[in-house]
Amino acid sequence: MEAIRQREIDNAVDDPIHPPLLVLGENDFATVTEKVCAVVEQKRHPTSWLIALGIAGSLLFTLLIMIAYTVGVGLGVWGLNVPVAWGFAIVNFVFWVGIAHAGTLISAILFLFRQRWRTSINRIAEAMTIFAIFCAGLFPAIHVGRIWVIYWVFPYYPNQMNMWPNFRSPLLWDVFAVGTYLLVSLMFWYLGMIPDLATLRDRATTKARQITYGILSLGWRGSIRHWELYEAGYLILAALATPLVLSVHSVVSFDFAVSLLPGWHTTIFPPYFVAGAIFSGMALVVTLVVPIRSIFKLKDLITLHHLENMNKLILTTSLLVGYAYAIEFFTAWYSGNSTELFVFWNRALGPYAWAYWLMVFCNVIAPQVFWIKKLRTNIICMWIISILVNIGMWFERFVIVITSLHRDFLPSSWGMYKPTWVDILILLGSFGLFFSLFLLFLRFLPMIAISEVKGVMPQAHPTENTEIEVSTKLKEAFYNHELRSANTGVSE
Amino acid sequence: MSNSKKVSLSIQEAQVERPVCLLAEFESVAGIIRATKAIKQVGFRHFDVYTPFPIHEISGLERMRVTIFRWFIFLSGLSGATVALLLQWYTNAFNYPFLVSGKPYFSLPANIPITFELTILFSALGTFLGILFFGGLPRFAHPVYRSNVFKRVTNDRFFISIDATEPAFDPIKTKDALLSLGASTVDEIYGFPPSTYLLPKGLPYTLLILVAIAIVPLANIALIRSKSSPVPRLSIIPDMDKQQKLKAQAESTLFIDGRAMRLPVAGTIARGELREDDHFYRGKINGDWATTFPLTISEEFIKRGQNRFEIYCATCHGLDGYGHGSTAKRAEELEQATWVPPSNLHDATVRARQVGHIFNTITNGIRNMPAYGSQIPVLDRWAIVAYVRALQRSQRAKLEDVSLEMRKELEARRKG
Amino acid sequence: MFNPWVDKFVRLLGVLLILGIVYLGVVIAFATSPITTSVGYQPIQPVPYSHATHAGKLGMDCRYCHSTVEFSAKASIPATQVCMNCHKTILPTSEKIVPLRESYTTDKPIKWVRVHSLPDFVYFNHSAHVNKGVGCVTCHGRIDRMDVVYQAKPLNMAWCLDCHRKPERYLRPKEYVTKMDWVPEGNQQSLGEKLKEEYNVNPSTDCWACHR
Repeated sequence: MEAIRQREIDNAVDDPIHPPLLVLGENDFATVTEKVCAVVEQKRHPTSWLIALGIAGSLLFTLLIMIAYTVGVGLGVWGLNVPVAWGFAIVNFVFWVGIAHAGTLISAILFLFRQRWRTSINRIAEAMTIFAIFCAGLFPAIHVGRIWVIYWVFPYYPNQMNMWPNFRSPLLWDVFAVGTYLLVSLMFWYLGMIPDLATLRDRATTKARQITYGILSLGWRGSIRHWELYEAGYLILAALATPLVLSVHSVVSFDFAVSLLPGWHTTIFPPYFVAGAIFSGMALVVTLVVPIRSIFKLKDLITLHHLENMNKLILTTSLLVGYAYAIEFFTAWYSGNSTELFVFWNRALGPYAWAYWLMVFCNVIAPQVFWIKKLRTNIICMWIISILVNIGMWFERFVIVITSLHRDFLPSSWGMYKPTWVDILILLGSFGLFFSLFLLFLRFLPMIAISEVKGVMPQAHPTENTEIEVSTKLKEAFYNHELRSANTGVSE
Repeated sequence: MSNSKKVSLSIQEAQVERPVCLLAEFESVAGIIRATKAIKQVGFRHFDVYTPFPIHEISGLERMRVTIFRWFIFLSGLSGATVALLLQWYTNAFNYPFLVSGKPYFSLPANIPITFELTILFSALGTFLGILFFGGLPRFAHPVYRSNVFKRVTNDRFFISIDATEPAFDPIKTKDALLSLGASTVDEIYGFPPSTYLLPKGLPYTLLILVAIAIVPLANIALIRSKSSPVPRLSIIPDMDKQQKLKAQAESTLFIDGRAMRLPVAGTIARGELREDDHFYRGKINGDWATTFPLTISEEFIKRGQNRFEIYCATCHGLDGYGHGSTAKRAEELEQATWVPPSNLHDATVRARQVGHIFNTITNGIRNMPAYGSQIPVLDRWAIVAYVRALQRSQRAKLEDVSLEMRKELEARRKG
Repeated sequence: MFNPWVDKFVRLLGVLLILGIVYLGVVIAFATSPITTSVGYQPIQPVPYSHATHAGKLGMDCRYCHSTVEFSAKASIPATQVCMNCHKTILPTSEKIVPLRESYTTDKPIKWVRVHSLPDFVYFNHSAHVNKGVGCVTCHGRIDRMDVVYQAKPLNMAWCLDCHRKPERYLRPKEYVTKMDWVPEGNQQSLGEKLKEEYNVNPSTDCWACHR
């Protein structure tokens, strides 16, 4: 409880000349190391962590049971049917891929923009990205029904059907985009973690920890020769990940945009999806970081300044998403196409209007409170808004998928979509998968990039003069001695 | 001899005793920056600096290597793009030209997403592996780890190591020099004892066992391939291979006779199957054997008859119709008491038969000859009759039967 | 903490990993190949009928027994009646044909075991193939040399498509479809191209050609 009562220091100031401190309190290099490593090194599992893992683990167990049930019985246990042949699975897929965008945004894009405040939250966001991609990848995989033939989506050899995937299909682009995103995110995450794993190795008190972290850190010893390569590589990875992150959700949006369905077939989809993805990802970062910084006593490292910056990004992307919602209606009206117009009327006023207006409230209206500084630096307020945004963004995908499909060109084939209990449990279960992995990450891996945080501390940038004149005396100290025989290997 | 041996031994001992490097510890960022700059300016090359985070003031030791590394990433990306384009061209335009809505098999715009993704993926892999490769990582055993103070390098301390390979290296003098640069401690680091370089003893045996286990599946596959098996084939993914539907000639538990194929209900006739044409279907005209064909005969029709004759009839009657078919010969070889040799189709009795009668014989059999009505369709039976007639005629043909040109040729052949 | 042998060992592991991946690829490729999983299926039949004797030694045409092959999707297993055409009088009392006589007298079909079986979602048509110059031997192998029939060809989709994409490599004149030992006079390629033109052979590679 002492942790909760930890003092909140307001460093949320916007002064370009005197940027706020990113590490608060009386911290030096050693205490930063200590604070982050303490989470991993504490002997007993924190009770709150155990309870959370218990809940997440049982949800994960539910997920596994439900997947087994779906695979065993068939997709008929889901609510899918004509006309809504794409249901929860796609909604959840797009939702989780969207969540996955925050990690790379914070790690790569903010890195390229030299936003130094990214350092204390990038590791958490990257981990979130990876676990969210796991959740996302799950849904197309189980949606194919016969999960054991999922390998058909990859070009492989020897090929007993003598057939190849259709490389001109957006669904295959998706496989490549999401797969690439997962691999690149994993490399980015792991590469950044190597120096911190070495820290854990060097602090390890047990043989098991020493060996585990020793292997994971690949023998990192902080040599500046390595740092040089590392920094060059990290910059390039960031530069590669930036267009990648934009491409991933663009490709996901192609799944919809290239089909000839009113409500999907719009050119605005790629930027609209990317903005929405960043929006939801940032919101989930806030949702997660707010409790983490109190429970694990990391308020010195994840400060109000960090949170405020994220809230500003949420506000910005909320406006972008709101603009996209509006422009969709404008395009429908301006097109003069009655089918297109109908879809959007149906969205706002049809049987799923409740979902549409819930989405508008959560995504466009609620985040507007962040215009007020007091509210965007209020912990409780930002936490509630971030959760609302997550709900809203899930419903955005629900609205796009379901309302566009349920009333198609032929009124006789109109229908409604009702998820079954299996659908709902799989959705909840995917949160179980996400949180199980995330909680394990918090407990066993360094959740803050220790070496990067040290690099933005004032102590890392000495103000004193570091230039040195090499005196003859010093030179002599290094050179003024006879070459010893052992050096040349010749005995006298 | 013994003397020189002793000397070389002592050198080896001395080398083992000698530190491989000196490790100087610094407590502040400013200290390490100054010390590094000094050592660089002094002209030392064989040294390394260890810090808990990158310090840009002292980087630049590995400019060349970083440049190569960047080119390596560029080439990785280039290879990603090449692989992607080749893959898409080979699979969708070359190996299996895959037509989608009449669009070109290979067009760049449609191939951009995959090419883009693979370029990124390969570049990223190149970056990640490049950092490890150009940095000589993973390297789990390094002499600097043998120092206890070095553990703080990943926390809050900074180190400089000067290798013994530096020409001006001297364990004592260099140590003093480092101390004068502001190092808080300077440790002598010794190499690993030779015994720590030895791989575990059981390793070769483990490898041998692994290789032996690895041979088992391959040998098994070779065995399966080399022989046949009465066990049904293995379907790796048997989805819907066996469906709950009845195919022709399949078994069914629904009907008492166990057959999936059903006969028409007794007393019913399928459309077009009335078969009221007596001449065509039974070879009879007003109850008598027909002496004429129910259709016009063409050369093509007779050729069809020959083809069918050779399939169904020649096996007993022989290709020439004399009754020496392969089956007949075999039956004679086996000395079958029950066997009655097939008729010679050139006998006077057979020649005298009306075509309707021959048709009926094929359809329903005669004496020992079985009925072929179920095997040969009606039209084919008539074709066979036509061919039998032609065959009979051929065996008693006169010279006048052939054309003038042929006659000349035949006569020429008889003479020659 | 780690001794220098660990680095050697890691390098060794790296090499083993690469070898292991290659090995795994090879094993999977060979183990899942239809030549391993399908070819060589040779069920025990209720009657020790020998194709080598009938089609080989006696030189009977395939169509004598499989008489529907030219106008039906199925080549058909002959009725017992067809066997009895000859065996009423040739070797009528042989031990080997006891089930045959039983079937003939009781009117119950012999339960022959199917050798060449495609999955139920594949619709193969024999007549479409034999009437366009695809020989029996192309898909069934040298039946005339088999005492007990076995599956000689993989019959997997890649194998079907191989011919559907380039049929000229396998076509023969129609009159030789049942001839087991036919070899082209001269170049198969040019003959195949000629026949492809003549018979108007344009095999579909669309999904619905076989999956209906």
